[in-house]
Parts: sequence; structure tokens; C-alpha cells
Amino acid sequence: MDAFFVAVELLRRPDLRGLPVVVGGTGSRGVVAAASYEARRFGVYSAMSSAQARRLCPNAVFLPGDLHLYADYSERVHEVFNSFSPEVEGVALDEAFIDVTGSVQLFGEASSIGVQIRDRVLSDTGLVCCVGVASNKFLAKLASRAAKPKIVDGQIVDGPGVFEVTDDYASTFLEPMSVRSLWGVGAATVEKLERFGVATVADLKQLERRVLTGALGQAAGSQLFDLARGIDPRPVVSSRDAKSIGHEETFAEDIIDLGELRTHLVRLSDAVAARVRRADVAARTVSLKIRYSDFSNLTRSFTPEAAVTTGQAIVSALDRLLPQCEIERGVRLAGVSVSNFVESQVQLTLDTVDSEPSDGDWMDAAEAIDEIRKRFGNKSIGPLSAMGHGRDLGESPWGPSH
Amino acid sequence: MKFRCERQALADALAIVVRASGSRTASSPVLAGVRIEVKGDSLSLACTDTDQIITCTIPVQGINNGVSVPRARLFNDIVRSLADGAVEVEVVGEDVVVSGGRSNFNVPTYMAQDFQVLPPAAAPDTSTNAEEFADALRQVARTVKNQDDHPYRGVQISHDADGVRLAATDNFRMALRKLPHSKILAVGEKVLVPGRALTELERMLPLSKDLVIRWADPTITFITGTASLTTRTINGSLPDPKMFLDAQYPNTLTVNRELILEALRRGKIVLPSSIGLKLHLSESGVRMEAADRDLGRTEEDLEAEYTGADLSITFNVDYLMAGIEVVETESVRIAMKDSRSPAAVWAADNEDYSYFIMPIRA
Repeated sequence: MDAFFVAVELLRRPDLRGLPVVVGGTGSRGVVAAASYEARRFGVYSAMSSAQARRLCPNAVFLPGDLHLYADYSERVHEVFNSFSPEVEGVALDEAFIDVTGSVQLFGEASSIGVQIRDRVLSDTGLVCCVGVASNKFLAKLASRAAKPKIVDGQIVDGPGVFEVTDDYASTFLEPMSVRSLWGVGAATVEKLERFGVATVADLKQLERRVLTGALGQAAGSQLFDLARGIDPRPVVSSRDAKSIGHEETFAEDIIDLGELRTHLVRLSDAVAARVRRADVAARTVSLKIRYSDFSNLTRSFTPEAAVTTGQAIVSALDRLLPQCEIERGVRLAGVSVSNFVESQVQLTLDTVDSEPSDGDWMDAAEAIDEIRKRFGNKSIGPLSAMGHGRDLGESPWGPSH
Repeated sequence: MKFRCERQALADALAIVVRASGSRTASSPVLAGVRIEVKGDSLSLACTDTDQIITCTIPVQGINNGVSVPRARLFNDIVRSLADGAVEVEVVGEDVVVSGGRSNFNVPTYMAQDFQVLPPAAAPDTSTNAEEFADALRQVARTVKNQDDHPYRGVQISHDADGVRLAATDNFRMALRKLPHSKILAVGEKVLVPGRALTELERMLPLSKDLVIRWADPTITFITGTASLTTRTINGSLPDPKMFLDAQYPNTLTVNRELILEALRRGKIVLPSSIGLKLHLSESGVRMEAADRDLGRTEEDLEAEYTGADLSITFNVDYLMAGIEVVETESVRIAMKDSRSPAAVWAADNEDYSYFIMPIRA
């Protein structure tokens, strides 16, 4: 979004349109949160002290800001994003990455989706946004910057609004840029790069990977090497994937035996897995929560190779975590939860033709168990290892207390 | 080097070769060039990215013999933009000067001696019907694994007791096409040709009635009209299609091709992220079902004929559509065994083209 806070303010104060407007702390120690392009012509930028902004642009209208209002608009803007793709990663109130890979069939190619999003944001909220289109987050971010209006010689020059950096164009686009434009390049890195005579991305591309990792460290050097070539493997992580399914149970008496604890975990896992299957998903992450008798908590997660849909798969993930539980401290509560859902579908491959089902494949059994429970009730069937230890199968069967 | 010709003739020839040019950022920048050579009254053009080369020869009014390598896409854009009529191309110093109508352009060039030409395969000509080969490519080439360095990134041309056949797979499905009358390759031979090159070839075909093929590993050359494409072959071979061809498919769905494609397109609306589309098949009716956690669901009864046992089977909707779209008859047969075994897609009345698709376990 362009000068998001200011743009929202202008919606309720249209009389300020065309004037230099600054949103931020107005007190003596205040800081600029956002500035209109008219104010930026005078050199006012966000994060500058309000006092300095006043000196640069004494005629600017200073507004204290209204975070609740901005959050409202942010939600409406995100609603537009979500209507184009479920894969939306919010970065700030006014900024998000949207993976439209799956939306192309529905809405047309990415650049066209960019234009549609911009039109919809304008018609639904009255706000102007800029869209950068590219095949990864790094390039998309830089493309969105190129889409924005610019200040050239003190004049506001409109930007294209939607700017696409195709993979073919990426090197032409990147090479003339200052290395400061690259993610993770701050003052210290710039100084180190200057020693190699590097000012632009084109200069940077002359350096070999080992030179960069030598100067900046393995991770940072390697990342910079890739970024200079427009490579960024980070996926868009959508917030909808944060949901989880879980059960936890407080025990009548603290548990001090690992075997007994595991029995409860098997039962909890079985119930969680049944809900996962009912939701027709598979879960990537399995979490274990332990509350000791002194009310201190232990939470640990494990991500098995394959997404889980069965109690057996959840338990085998928990078995990786269980050694971290200090059972002798007494466990008053245990919880099992799964998260990071994916579709529970497996595309079969040519290699599976004529092959036997793999060991430990409980999917078919789980489906049969679901069928049996549907017909004969929850207590009709269950894992043997969840029975015993004094707990009556009939009273607390498969859905544990909440 | 200097020649004169009709703008349209030069533009057409450039359109054929230019897509083979490499990218400007490649380690060898000359690959972004198009090599143009005048010999008498003939102009040959060539673009290459070291793995493949496309050449084309056209008659021109040659004035001076010589070679030059201007930047391919730029040269192509300029020629396309000129007014119709005569165009003259001449080397002046280190530039190529292109003049047509009232316009003239100076285009910088690369060093011609840096341009490495992949020589055509040194083998005797074999030839096949170009139109039929183009049809076969259209049916098969889209199933190639679209990933550099993957062993399945090519179309396999083979000749065995059953005749000549094209095959492609991405490990999720396999497309096969017989060329019943073709005599290319010798019986027992097979060659794996990069899908990328064949997509270019498909675009070029047919420039003549016959397509000439010369194969001598590590390269294969295709010649149609005055254009030729030479590409490196891929070391290796695809899985044997016997496992599909010999399997039993006791349950058969017969349905109008357009009708099922339209239904699948509707189902696809709610399937952008999750790809599985379900078919519920029974002799009393056929139902399609598509659902996504976020985008809702759709159900639709299909007007179709089904013989066999009751069956629910899930497919990647894109894979299923891709297989059906290239069937050439009005109705299409989809034959299955069970929800875990491959299904076959055939035309109504022949099995020249067959498409085998692995279901999704849902």
C-alpha cells in the first residue's frame, strides 16, 4: 500500500488531499509513522523524528494516528487478497505476499491478477495499492517498489501500479540496483562489499560464492549470492495453515510412570487422528504438551517425513518427543495436537504399479475403524495399548474430556 | 556480407529459428545471437543454446558473401517492425545495418567465430509423414516431465514388432502414440529426445509433406522443408509401457469428449490447490464430485455410459483433462480396474493413442 496510514486518513479527511500530511507521534519525542508523497517531496520519511520532519516541512499537517482504524482497513484489504488466493502471508498491516500459483486457472495470469487485486482494493476500500509480480518473494518485493510513485527532482511521478519482473527480465532489472536493495544488506555488509569494489548487483555477480561466504559467513554469503541472481527459495507461508487440532487432558492424579503416560497419549492421538480424518486433511506437525505438577509446561513439536492421518503415525512422532519429558516431576496434564494441514491426497506414481502396500501403512485400517465406529459406536474398537491402567473403556472411551 | 530480400520472408525464417537462442546472461553471450550467412543467393540462419540448434535457409538476392551474428531477439524485433517490402541487410564495421522503407537500424554484433554450431547428425535419411508426426507430438509431448536433468524429460521414439511408437511420461501418467505406417528407425531401436526440442519441432511442423530424421547418438536431426533442428539426445530410456498395455481394464466409461471436458472444467473451479477430482461410477449413473476445504464443492451427474463394477476413483483433474483433450474422436473411453490401479484413456474406436494415468489415493 502507498503511505497506508496517510491514505486511510485521507479517506475521512478528503480536504487534506494534495497537502503534505504526516502521521506519527506529535510530541517532542515523536517519530514519523507515515508521510504523504507531498511531504516526502520535502525529504520527510517514516522513522524520522517528528521534530526534524517539522523543520523540513513546516506546513505539513500532523495527525496523531488511529491504529484501530488502520487495522479495520487492513482487514478489508486482506479480504480482497483472500478472495484471489488462500495462500496469503501477511507481512504488515499494509503488506502481504500472495501465492497465486493455484489461482491462475481461475483469474488469469499473475500480472492480470495483480491488476484485478489493485482494482478490487480501490473499489472495495478506496485505497491505492501497488503490486509487484514475480516468481519469488524477493523479486516480488522489489517489483512492488518499482510499481510505486517516485519523487524525482522534488516532483511526484506516478508509478505503473502493477509491475512484473519475469524470470527473463530479472537480471536486467537487478543488475543496475545498489546492493543496499537486497534483503539482509545493511550498513555493515555494504562496508564489507565496498572493500571488494561492489556497489551494484552487477558488481556483486562478479564475485564467486566462496568469496562471499568467506567474507560474510556461510548462510549470509550464500543467500546474497542467490539473491543477486534473483533466486529466493522461501515459500509463501499462509496464515490459514496455523490452525491446529488437539486434545488435552488433566489427570485426577499426577502421573509418574512413562508407560502410563504413553497409554493416555495413544488414546488422545487416536481421537485427534479421527478428527483429522473427518476434516479430510493430513497434518505435517505433531506437538506434545506436558504440564508438570509445579505447573511448568513443556511443549515440543516434531515434523515426520510424511503428513499424518492415523493415531499410529501420531504416536510414532510422539515417541520421538517423549524422552524429553521428565516424568519423575509428575505430569498433571498432557496434550496432543497436530497442525500445518495439507490435503490428504497422495498422487500414485508409475513405481507403485504392482507393488505391495508399504509397511506401517495404517490408512486402510484407519478407514475401516472409522466405518466400524460409525456403525457400532466409539467404544466398539480401539488401540489395545490405550486400554488398562484402571481406566474403564466404557466411561472414557475415545473422545477425551476437554 | 550484404543481401536483399522481402521483409516477410526474413521475418518468417527468423520466427522459426529465434526461439532456440540462448539467454543473454548465459556464460557464453554469443548464444543470444542469430548467425546469418550469405552464400550466393542463399541466406542461412541459425540459433543455438548449445543443446539444440535450429537452422533455416531462404533464397535472397545475395550481394556480398559473409557471416554475421547480431543479437537474435533484437534483430527479430526490428525485422518484424519494418514496413512490408524490400529489406536490405549489410555488415558495416562491427554493426549490421538493417534498412527497410524509410527506417534503418544499426545493430551491434557478436564475434562470429565464437558461435559454436552443433553439427547435424551424421546418419542416413529416414522419413515419415510430417503431419502425422506433428499430430503424434501434440498428443504425447505435453506428458513429458518438465524438469531439467530429469531422466523422463524426453519423448521416446521406438520401433519394435508393433511398429513405431512415441512415448512420454512424468511418472504420474504415460502417453503413447503409434505411427502405424512409419518406417523411421530400425526394429529394436529407440531414442529419447528432449521434450523441449520437440515442442519447438511441433511448432515448426509441417513445413513439408515429409519429415526427415537422421539419428546418430549423441545427436538427432529433424529436417522439414528448408528448416532443420538438431538436438542432443538423452541417455537412458522410459519405463516399459508393457505394464499398462498388458493390464486388464474391466470397467469402462464411454462419454462425449466435449461433455466431460466441460464438466471437468467446472469441477476445476473449486480445485485450484487440491487437485483430486472424484468420479463415482455405477451402471445406474455417473457422478463427478470436486471439493476443496476453502473453495467449496460441486457435484454433477454426467450423461455417460458405464459398464462394470461400482467404483469411486480420484484423479488429478489436470492430468485427466490433458489426456482427454488430445483424443481425436467425438467420444472417449476411460477404462479402469480399481481406485488404486492405472486407468486408460482411449479414442472411441482405436488404440493408436493411449494415455495411462495413475489415480490419487484419497
